[in-house]
Parts: sequence; structure tokens; C-alpha cells
Amino acid sequence: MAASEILFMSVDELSLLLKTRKLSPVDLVRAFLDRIEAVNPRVNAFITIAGDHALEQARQAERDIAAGRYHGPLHGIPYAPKDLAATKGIRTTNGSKVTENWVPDYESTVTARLNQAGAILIGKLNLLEFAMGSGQKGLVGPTRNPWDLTYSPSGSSSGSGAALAAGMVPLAIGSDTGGSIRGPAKSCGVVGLKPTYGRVSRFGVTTLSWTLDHVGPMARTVADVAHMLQVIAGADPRDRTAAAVPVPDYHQSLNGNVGGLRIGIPTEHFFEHVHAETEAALRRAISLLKEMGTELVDVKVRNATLCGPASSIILGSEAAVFHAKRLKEKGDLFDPLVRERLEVGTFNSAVDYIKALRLRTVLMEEMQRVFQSCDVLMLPAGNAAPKLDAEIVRTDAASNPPLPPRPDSFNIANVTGIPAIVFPCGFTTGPPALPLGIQFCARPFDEGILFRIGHAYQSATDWHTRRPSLTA
Amino acid sequence: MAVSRRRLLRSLALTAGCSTVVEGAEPAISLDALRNVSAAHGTNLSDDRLRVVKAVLEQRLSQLQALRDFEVDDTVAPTRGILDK
Repeated sequence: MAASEILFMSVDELSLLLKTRKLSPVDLVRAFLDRIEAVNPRVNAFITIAGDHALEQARQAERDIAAGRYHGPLHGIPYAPKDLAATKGIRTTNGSKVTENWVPDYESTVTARLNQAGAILIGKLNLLEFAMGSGQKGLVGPTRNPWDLTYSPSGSSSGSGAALAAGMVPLAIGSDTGGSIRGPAKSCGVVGLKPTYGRVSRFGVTTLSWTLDHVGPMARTVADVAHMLQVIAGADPRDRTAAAVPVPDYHQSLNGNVGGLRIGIPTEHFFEHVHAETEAALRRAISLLKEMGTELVDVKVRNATLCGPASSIILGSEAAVFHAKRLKEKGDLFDPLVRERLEVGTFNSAVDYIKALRLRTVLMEEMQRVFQSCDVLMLPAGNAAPKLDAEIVRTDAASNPPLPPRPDSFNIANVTGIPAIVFPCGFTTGPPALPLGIQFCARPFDEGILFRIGHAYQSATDWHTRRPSLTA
Repeated sequence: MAVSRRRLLRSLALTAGCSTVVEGAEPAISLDALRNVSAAHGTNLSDDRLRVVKAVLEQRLSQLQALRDFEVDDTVAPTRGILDK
């Protein structure tokens, strides 16, 4: 079997081959390591490549499968986490000079659960320093968008999105505090899920903001993301915010049936900065879903304009507290933009912070009201990826101009904790032709309905099957 | 060259570090005020760092004001996680 065939296969395709021993986990890992060696110098998605570790794990998987000890659909399949998930004995940099030589002596829950399911860690993925926003050069230089190397993959899970799009890994882990899973998913043409707050343990994943951070799966198909969430979701005694809410069988959601499902379409605010080409792609996707039997419902999300300021205060304040000691002792090692943001956070008042948390209560109640009239809420996922140079130049300024705010269409799910998924829904006309994405949100802990709509859409379209040429 | 009253007030406000609101201008945040706050917080940022912070704080004032002006019912308590876990 040609390596090029393997690299873009789904979990269902790979697991069938592995389980029936038509494909060796060792050969599979070798194919991805070869791909990483060939492509990573241009894309820069990996900070660390754990080749020896991965081959050792692959040999063990081969022995286990041969002996009838098959662990499930992820057994023998490579994955890579964003390099802020602690991996025991493997360097975890957080994308920062401050922690570039940190080798944890413990394992994050999310990687431990993937390892336990038989998935094979193949390396650690590039990110923006400490997962903080956009526009930085990063510890090892910026990740480049495989669809056009002069464009950004968006951040902060930049390596996760780019590695998936470039066929360097089939499964990835990201983190999302204000869109850091969903932005790269949109810009790279892959799928990203920000689960409900509390659905996935954050133990061992470096904090940016305790109350806004989420860890989530990224892959090329909705079904693959569902496979990952099945394994990583659930309560964890080491993370008190990980909820003891039962984890359903997500595969039952992958039935292609969306008949009668009510899709809420916001009537104002969220489309204000959406380009005409992006909006047209969103409208086409919605029209298709309507043809498939869904019902479209106009909804209004009150006070949505305040989501951005609330998110900014909460994130800035919590990040400033988390990094206070590092900032004081090693301030010069931080990227200038990150340092600036953290220092600004120290000037937030407790009064403003508490006001933001009270507004958060208001917005959560508002989302409960919204979901009385619809089952899922469609939101934009931002416009196509920006030019890479346009982002990076900002860090060279003595004082950075304010970055464009993260769209409230991302922040709303972090501030209120509801789950949100992004999957590809088209391309710009270009050149270059860049991926566009659509976002759906749901009630807390109802990730299943997001998989239901996403899988149905991907069964009827081929956007997710397109591959970058990597020639730009 | 004649100096307008408005320009004079703005200059005084900036150089003296006071937070006088000049008619028609954005409220100024003085370096002195930031220096005092930084000392009170124990961060003791250098003036170079405070100049960077000052620019950002001034840029986001209007955004922050929207949050401050938003009226929340007295019964609404702050929330950190989702409501119906």
C-alpha cells in the first residue's frame, strides 16, 4: 500500500486495516515520520518529533494486536498534542523560551487517555507562546498554512491545524480559550471541537485562563473527532472542573440524519465583519442542510456585543495571575506581545473582573433562552486565513497596536462554556484558494448533536477531502 | 505661534501626569498613576514597560467602558463555570 494512500485515511479506514493486520502500526508510524521529515521544514508544525518513542509504541501495538489485545479504534494510530500538554519524559515547551527545556515527570490526562486507548504519540505541535493570541514568531518560528505557505494557519493551535491539513498526523489535540482550536480548524480546512467546559479534563495542560480554557480534539473528519472525544471525555479526580456527566456513545450520532433539527441563525451582530465570500459559503452550507431536512430559525443573542470585553478582562486577569511569577523573574524571555498582554492584565481591577463574571452569568442565561427555540446555533468561524507577515510584523513594534479582536462568534462559546465545532464549508476563489469554515454551537454537554450535523454535512460534501499541494 | 487653550490643557495633563479630562479628548492615563498602581500591586514595572502598558490601556478604554456601563440586576451573581453541570 502506498504511503500517500495511508496519510489521509480516516480512523475507520485505518483501524480496519490495523485490526485485520493488513497494515502494521510500525509501517503506519514510519509513513507519518517520513511525511513529517519531508514536509515539516516548510510547514513548521512540529516542535518535537518523537520518532524513537513512536516506533517503540508501534512495535508494542503490533505485538498486542497480533496477540488479540486490540484496544479499540485508536489502537496503533498516531496523534500529536499541542505542545502545552505535559508528556512524561518528553519535552514540553509551551512554545516559550521560558519553559523550552521543561521535561515533565507526569502525563496530562488527555494524552494519558489517548495512550491508554492505544494511540501513538508521534510528536509535539507548534503553538503561539503559552497559547496566547495571534501574531507572534513563536519559539521555533511560525507555523505556515499548508494551503499557501505565505499565509497563517491561525492560532494558537497553529501546529495542530497545519499538521492535519498537511497529512503529517491524522489526529491532534488543541486548546481553545477564545477560538484557538476553531480558528486554525477554519484556516487549515480541518475539523476542530471546543467541547463543553468540563467535558475534557485539563489536568497537565498549561493554563492560560482557568475559566475560559478548553482542551479538544482536531482531525480531518467529524467522525474522527468523535472517536477522539469518546476517549478523552469524562470526569477526572485530578481536575475538579472536569464534570461527572455521563459520556454518551458518540458513534450513534454519526447516522447522517438531521431531519427536524432546528438550526438557529443569528439575525444581527455576528455577521458584521464577515466578508461577502465567507457569508456566501455559509449561506450555501445552510441551504444544503435545509434541503437535508433541517429547519432554519431566526434567533437574536442579546448583549452579544459585550462578550468580547468580558472575555478580554477575564482572560487578561487570569493569565496575569497564572504567569505573575514567571513574568517577574523571566519577563525578558517572553515574546514582546505576550509580555505586553500579561502586563496589561495586571492593571485590570477586581471590580471589572467581577463585572465581567456577572455579565457571563447573563450571557449563559441568554444562551439557555436561545436554545429553547433551536437545537444548534450556526455562527461564522471568521474569514479566510490572514497573510502570515501581516501578523508577525506586529511583534516588532515598540508598542503593539491592538490586534483585531477575536470574533465574538468564537468568544461566546468560551464565555458561556457551550460546545462548538468548526468544519470546512468551502474555499475562497483566490488565488490562493483558502479554506472557509462554518461553526455550530449546542447546549452544554450536547456534543453529540454537533457530530450529527457535522457528519451529515460531510457525508454530502467533499470540502474535507481536498488536499493542499504544498507547492506555494 | 499662538497656543490654544485646549492644546495647553492637554499638554499640562500629559506632562504633569494628571488625569484631567480635556474637553473633546479621550481621558488620559498618566504614567505617574500607572507607576503608583504598579507599586501598590507589587509589580514595580519600569517606566519603559509602563509606557507600553499605557498605550494599550488607553486604546481599550472605550471597550471597557461598555462593560462598565452595562447594568446587571442586583440578583445576578458572578459565574465561573457553566450553569447546569
